[in-house]
Amino acid sequence: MTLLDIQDVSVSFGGVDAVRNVSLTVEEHQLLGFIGPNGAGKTTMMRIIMGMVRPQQGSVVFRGMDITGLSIHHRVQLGLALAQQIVKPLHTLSMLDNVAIAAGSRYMSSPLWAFLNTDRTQARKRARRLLEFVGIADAADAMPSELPLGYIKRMEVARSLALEPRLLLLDEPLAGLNQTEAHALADLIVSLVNATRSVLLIEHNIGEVSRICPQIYVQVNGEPLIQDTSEKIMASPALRNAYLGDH
Amino acid sequence: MLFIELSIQGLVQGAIYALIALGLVLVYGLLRILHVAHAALYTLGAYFGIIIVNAGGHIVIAIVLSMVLVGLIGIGIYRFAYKPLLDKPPLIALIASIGLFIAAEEVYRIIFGAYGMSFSQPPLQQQIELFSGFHLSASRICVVILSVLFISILGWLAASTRTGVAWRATVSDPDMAASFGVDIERVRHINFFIGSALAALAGVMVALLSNLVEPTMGAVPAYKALAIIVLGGLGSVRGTLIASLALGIIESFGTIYAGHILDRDAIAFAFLIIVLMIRPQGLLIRR
Amino acid sequence: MSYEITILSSMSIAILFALSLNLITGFCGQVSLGHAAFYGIGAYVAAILTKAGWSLTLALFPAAVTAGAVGALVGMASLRVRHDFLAITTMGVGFLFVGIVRKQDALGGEIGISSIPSVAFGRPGLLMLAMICMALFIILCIYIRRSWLGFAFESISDDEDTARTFGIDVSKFKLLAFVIGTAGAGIAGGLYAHHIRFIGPDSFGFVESVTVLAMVIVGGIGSITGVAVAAAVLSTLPLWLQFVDDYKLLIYGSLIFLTMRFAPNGISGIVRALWQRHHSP
Repeated sequence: MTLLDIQDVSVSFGGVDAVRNVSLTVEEHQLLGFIGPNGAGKTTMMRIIMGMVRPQQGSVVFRGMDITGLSIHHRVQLGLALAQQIVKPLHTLSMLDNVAIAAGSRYMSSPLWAFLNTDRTQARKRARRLLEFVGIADAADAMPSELPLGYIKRMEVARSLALEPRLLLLDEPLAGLNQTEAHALADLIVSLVNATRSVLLIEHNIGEVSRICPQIYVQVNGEPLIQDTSEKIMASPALRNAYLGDH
Repeated sequence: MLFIELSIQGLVQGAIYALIALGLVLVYGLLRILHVAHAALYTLGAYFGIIIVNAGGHIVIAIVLSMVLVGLIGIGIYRFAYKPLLDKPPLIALIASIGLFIAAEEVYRIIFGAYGMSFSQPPLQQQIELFSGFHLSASRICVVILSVLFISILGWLAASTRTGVAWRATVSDPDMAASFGVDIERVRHINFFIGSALAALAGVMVALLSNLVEPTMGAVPAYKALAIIVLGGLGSVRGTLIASLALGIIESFGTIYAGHILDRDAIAFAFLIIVLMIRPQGLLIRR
Repeated sequence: MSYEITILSSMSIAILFALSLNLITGFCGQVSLGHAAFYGIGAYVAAILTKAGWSLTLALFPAAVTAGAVGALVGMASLRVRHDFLAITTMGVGFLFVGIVRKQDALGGEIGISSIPSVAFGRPGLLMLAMICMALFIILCIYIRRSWLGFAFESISDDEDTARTFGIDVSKFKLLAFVIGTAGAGIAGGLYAHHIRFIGPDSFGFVESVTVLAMVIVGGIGSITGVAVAAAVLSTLPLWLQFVDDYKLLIYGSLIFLTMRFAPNGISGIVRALWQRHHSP
């Protein structure tokens, strides 16, 4: 079953093409790696999927529904979630409440419904379990500004999981982490995929991506290059050229 | 005839708005701060102009001295008020700026008196015949000429000097500019100096036109200048200039044709709100 | 006794007015510089209705609804612009309100509306009504704080782009904050008109918008207690100290600036910092 189906999207900013004629599909129960050198348009693709950027051409279909013109909050309500590359924790809230607010997303589907609901204990309970799951339950009551980046990155993963997404987009979750941290977080990412959840992992760290992702999609200069199993991709000369040409 | 007179009135008003709004858009472009207190500098410029002329100074000296003094005070405001707030949310600097502006107006009232000041012998009042039967006061001609002159100088500076290039680089990407060795702090100082000096020029011009300077004279035109930079598309200098002229002309005609329902100041804001409803991104920016 | 009643009435009205702005600026992070316009709308609506024979208690409902409805319109227009520009559009609304009222003969034009009828039971009656409205609004604020609505507001105020990624329809929530806040200002305005018994366009100008902003800022943006205390003090200070009345704007302006520059969380922030220093080793 196809979960996300992107057909022939293009976006240009001020006359420069950021993404050109890209088609990409994510299946149910899939962990798909998405790699490409600098300027490949990875972040732009992620923003197209989330609805932060409208494609000038092409369509985005999610769970059989055309979401090309939908705004971010609708997409989130439909089951898309994003863990951003540059994590923006809410600074006035504790780590637990940062996750709890996402865990209570369904209470905030409309202002009136949000007004009628006061109970935060359920959401906090779920948030605590998620913090345990990503391995940072010890920092639940700390404020985000007091913690190192590794914690914040894990909190972001917990926060996006709290939205109970069918498709989770991870935008460079490993960036800025040291090798041990990156390895551990990559292992965690594998365990996120299950019968009802797929993950699209956008990463710079090819080593970790090829280790954990069965399938990889490669994009170069805003255009699709190849999509195949990771063994074939890693052996392909096209990939090597794309990266060597970059340097 | 009425049409020409209203157009010229609009042009003069638009030139003054442009001088004030330029300073604001310079600060917004560089620091993303809405510099409401800019209005206080415009008023201060007008006071300096009148005081210097009344003390026996020539009007040219008054203009230059007022611009330099207010420019330096502008730098002072940056250092004392805004620099420590740059790492805080933009809301904080905005509210601080509003407080500063209101306090400044009261300080003027206390120091210079509540009833305003006038030139004892207003300069540049002679009527000049532009073409047969059409007269215009020298002060109005002066407003238009000086605005065009200073704005052109500014445009030339930005386009062709090292400092201008550094300034434009800092506006588009401060981190990048810093990594290329641009002294950002110096750029900011120059920015505040020029913006504040232009506001002072506008102040002296308005003093010449109306021969009256009051503590609260900054309020309305400066709010309009804020509206103008929104209309101009936030941070666009060209957009700001066009929006200034548009507002000047719309007000000038609107006062005649819509004056019975709205007063002059309300027209400006009705215009602003209508435009924002139709085009939230400003008048000129194309998506 | 009547002096105390007058002071307590203006205090209660000021607290209600300040908390209504606090809901917009403090809870939801949207700066409004034209809040006095909605205060004015409530005042005019209530005054016209009581002059037509309504009781004030009844007239407060249309006052709130009208102010809230205009608030909704303004919100729909101005919440589309980036948040720091909301300050400018709301300031524009403030000027627009004064500009329009000034030209309407039906509203008394420049002169305004005078000899507004007194309420049942006179001054003590008004005080009672004002205190009840204030108490109800405080309860509403505390409730919202605790509800998911308050949680959503908090996230929007902190970072609206991040709030969107939680599935929050940011503009709808902002609009609701605006409607509740402006309706609250409408009620405060209706009470104010019957407290002063004379209103004109100048009673609701930029000065009043700044005064109420000063209360919210000095009290501590978002803090219900802090804002209520600041509103109580700042509204009565000019009555007690002549020099405060003479230099009202200088003092309010400086307070706003100095608070932002040196203690952005206002009184409540200072108190919290002192308390923490006292209670930690």
